[in-house]
Amino acid sequence: MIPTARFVEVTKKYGRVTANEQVSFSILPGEVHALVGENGAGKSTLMGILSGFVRPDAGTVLIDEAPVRDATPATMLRHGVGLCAQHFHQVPTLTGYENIALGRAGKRGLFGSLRGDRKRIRELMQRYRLDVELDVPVDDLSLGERERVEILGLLYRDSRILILDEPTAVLAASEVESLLQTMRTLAAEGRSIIFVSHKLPEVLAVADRVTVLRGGRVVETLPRRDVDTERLVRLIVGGSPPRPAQWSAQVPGREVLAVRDATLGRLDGLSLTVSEGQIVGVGGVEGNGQKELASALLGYEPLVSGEIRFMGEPVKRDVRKFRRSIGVIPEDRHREGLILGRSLVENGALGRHDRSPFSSAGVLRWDKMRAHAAEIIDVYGVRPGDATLPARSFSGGNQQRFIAGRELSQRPPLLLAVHPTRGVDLGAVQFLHGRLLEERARGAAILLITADLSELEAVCDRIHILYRGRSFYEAARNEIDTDGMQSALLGLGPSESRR
Amino acid sequence: MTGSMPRTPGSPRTPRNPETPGTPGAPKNRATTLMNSKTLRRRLRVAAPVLLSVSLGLALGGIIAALLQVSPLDFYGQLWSGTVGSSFGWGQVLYRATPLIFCGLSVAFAFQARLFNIGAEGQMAVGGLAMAAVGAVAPSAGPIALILALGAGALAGGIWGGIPGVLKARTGSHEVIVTILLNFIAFAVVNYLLVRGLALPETVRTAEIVESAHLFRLSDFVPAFRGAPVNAALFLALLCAVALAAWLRFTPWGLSLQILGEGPGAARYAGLPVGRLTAFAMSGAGALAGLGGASFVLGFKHYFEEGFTGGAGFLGIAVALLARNRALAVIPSAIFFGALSYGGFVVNRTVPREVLDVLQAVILILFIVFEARRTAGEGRT
Repeated sequence: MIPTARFVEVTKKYGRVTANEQVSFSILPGEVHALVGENGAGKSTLMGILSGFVRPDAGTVLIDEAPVRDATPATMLRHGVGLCAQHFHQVPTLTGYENIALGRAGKRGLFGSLRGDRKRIRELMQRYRLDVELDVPVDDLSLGERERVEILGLLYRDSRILILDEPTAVLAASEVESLLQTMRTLAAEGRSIIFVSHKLPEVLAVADRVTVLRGGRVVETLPRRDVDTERLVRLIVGGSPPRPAQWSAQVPGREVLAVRDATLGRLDGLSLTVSEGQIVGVGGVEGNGQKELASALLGYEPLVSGEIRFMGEPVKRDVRKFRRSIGVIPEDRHREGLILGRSLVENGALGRHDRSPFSSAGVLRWDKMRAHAAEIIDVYGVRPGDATLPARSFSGGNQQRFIAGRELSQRPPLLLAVHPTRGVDLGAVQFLHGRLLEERARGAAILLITADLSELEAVCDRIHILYRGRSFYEAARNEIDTDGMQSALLGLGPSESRR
Repeated sequence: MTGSMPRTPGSPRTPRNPETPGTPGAPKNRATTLMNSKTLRRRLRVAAPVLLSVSLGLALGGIIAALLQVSPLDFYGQLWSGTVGSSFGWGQVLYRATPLIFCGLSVAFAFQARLFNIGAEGQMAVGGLAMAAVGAVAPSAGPIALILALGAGALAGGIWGGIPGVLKARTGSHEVIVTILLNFIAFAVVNYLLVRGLALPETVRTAEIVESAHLFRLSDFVPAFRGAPVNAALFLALLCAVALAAWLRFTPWGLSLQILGEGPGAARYAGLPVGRLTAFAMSGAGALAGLGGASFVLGFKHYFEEGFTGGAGFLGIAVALLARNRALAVIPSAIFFGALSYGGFVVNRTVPREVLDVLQAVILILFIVFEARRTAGEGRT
C-alpha cells in the first residue's frame, strides 16, 4: 500500500532542546494511526511539521511519496492535510457555519468567503455524526462542539489526512465514544487519521497502528494487535511505569474554605466546604459553572450573590490578600500560569516577587529568585533542568510540574487546582497526584476542579458533580458510585440512570 | 558570562526564544571557542535589523541626493561635518537629542506594560508650561527654584499622562485613542492659559524664569561647544535613562510592570494590582515626557514658547522603537535621530531638509520590517 504521508529522518531543534530527531515512519490510507509519548516527546512538533506550521531543520515529509518543498499551512491544506489542534483555529465571533466556510478553496474574495454549501455541511454532519449548532458564534459553544466545528471544517475541504491532537481531552465520556466512532467511519472511507493522545484505553480502542515517540525519536511503530496497555506504557516511559499515588484515610481538620450559595454567570447557588487535610473534587461537564467558581476564587470577578469564607472570615473585603495567601494551579498554564517569554527564574517568583525573600527593602533579590527556581526544578523533576530557559521552551508536563512546584513551595493553607493534569503525560499525572496527596497529609486544604472522573476517584476525599451551576451529586469517597456519578454529569438522578 | 547576571528586561541577553539561552554553568575552557562564535552570531542577529536599516536607509539617501543632482559624497560629507564632525555640530545634535531622550524614555516606559504612549507631545507641552510658570515665580534661594520648576514639569506631565492610564484601568478605553486626543486638548489648554495671562502681552511666550532656575550651558565649561544650546538638561536625561534601566531591573514594581506587559493573564492570575500598575505606567510616562521641556525652558530660552515641542513627542515613538524600548538604548537612538533632525538644517542649502525627514521614516520602516523578520517564528506552535 502506498503511504499517504511519510516522514523521512525529520529533525527539529529549538536551541539546545531537541524536539524531533531522525523521525521516520509512514501513515497509510484507511488507518487510524495513534501517536503516543510523554509531554515533550515531540508529538506536537511533528504534527506541526506535517501541517506546515513548523519548519524542520532536516529531513523530508512526503505526501503520496512526493517530497513537499516549502511546506506552509496553506500548501499542506492543499495536499489534504488537516490539523485539529488542541487550541482551535477559529474566529470566536463567527458562527460554526461561517468558521467552516471561512477561507475554503475557491471561495476567496471579499464577500464570498463566509458563504458555504450548507447542504453539504448538513450531509457531513449526518454522515459522521458530528452534531453542532451551526448558527451560534463558536465562542458560545462548548469545547466539544467547537472541536466538531473544527473537524467539519477539515472534512468540508476534503482533508485526506486528519490530525487530531488530543481531541478527547475536552470531551465528556459520551462524546468520546461518538468521536471514536466517527474516526473509524472516516478511516473506513480510506482517509488517514492521526490520533495524538495520552489516553491509552482510547488509543487501544480505535487505533490500527501505534507509533511511540520518546525524547523526540521514534521508539517503534506497532500494529494494534501487538500491543496492550502495559507494553505501551513501558515503551512510552522507557522502563517500568511509575506507581500510582496511594490515597489513605485521614481525618480532616478545621474548615479552611467555605463557599455558600455562590452565584455568578452559570454558577447558580453552589455551596461547598474544604477542610485541612482534605481534597474536595469538583467534576462535571465543562461549562456548568467550573470556570466561574475558579474566577470568583481568584478574584477575577466578584460573586453576584453568596459568599466565600477563608479561615472563617469573609473574603469580600480584601480579595487580593486572600488570593495571595493561597496557592493556585490555574487552568491555562500558557496565559495565566506562566510568562512564556521569561525564564523560569522570573516565573518561579511570579506573584511573590515583591515580597520577602524575593524582595528586600524595595530591591529584587535575583540571587534568591534563581536559587528558588533551581530548587523547584530539582524537587519537581523539571526537564531540561535549566532555569535560564524561557518558560515557552518547556513541554506542557514540565511547565505544569514547575507551576505546581511554585505554588506548593509556599506551603499554602489552601490550594486551588484547576484541571491540573489536563494534557500532561502519565508520569506527570502520577507525580502531581502524589504531590497533592502529600500536601493533604501535611494538612493543606485542596479544592480540585477537573473534568476527569478517574482523577476524582484517585485522590479526592469528597466529590461534587456540577450540573447547571449547582452541586448535583455529592458523595464522600467511600460512598462514590461510578454509575451515579456518570449519570449526574448529564443531570440525571440515580433512578433515571438505571432505566 | 551572562548566566549569572540578572537579566535586563527586553535585553538581547534575555532568552526570548529557545535559540538564545544563557549558558549557566557551561564547561568553561573546552567550550569557550564554540560559545564565543555562538554568542557572536547571536549578537549579530540581534544587531542586524539596526545595522541593516540604518545602512540601507543611508544608501537610499545617497540615491535621492544623486537624483537631486547632488553628489552623495558631498551630501554625506556636509551632513557629517555639520553634525557629528565638529564640536559645534555635536553641541547642536546633543541639544536636539535631549528632549528625544526624555520622550523616548516616556514611550519605552509605558511600553513595559505594553501601553502605547502617543501623547508625549502634549505631555511635554503641558510640562514645559508648568515648568516655565513655576520657574518664573519661584523663590530664588539656592536650587529651590530649579527643583520646583522640574517638579512642576514632571507633575503636570504625570497628571496629563495619568488621565489615559486611569481611564484605561477604570473603563478599558484604549490608551492610543485617548493619548492622541489628549494631545489636541493639551495644545488648546496651553494656548488658553497663554492667552489668559501666562504670556507676555502681544507674544506667545511666557515671562523669563528666575536665574536660579536656569540649567547651565555646556559651553560655560567646554569652550568648544560655544554657540550650541546643549545644556545640563542632557545630564538629567542621561540620569533618567540610567535610573530607569536600574529601576526596571532591580525593583519589584519594575518587574510587575513587565509582567503586566508580557503576560497580562499571568499578572491578573498572580493578583498583581493591574489597574494601579496601568495608571502608574502612563503617569510615569507622562512625567518623563513632562521633563522633556527642561532643555528648552530651563536650559536654552528660559521661557516657554508656543510650539517649542516641535514634534519631539512624536519622534520619541521612533526613538523608543529603534531602541527596542530599552532605557539605555534610548540614548544612542535619540542621538541618531537628533543628528538626522539637525542634519536637515545643515544640508538645507544643497538638498531640501525634507529629504532627511524621508530618511528617518525610511529607516524606521526598514527597521520594523527586519525586526519582524527576526522575531518571526519565535517560540513553538
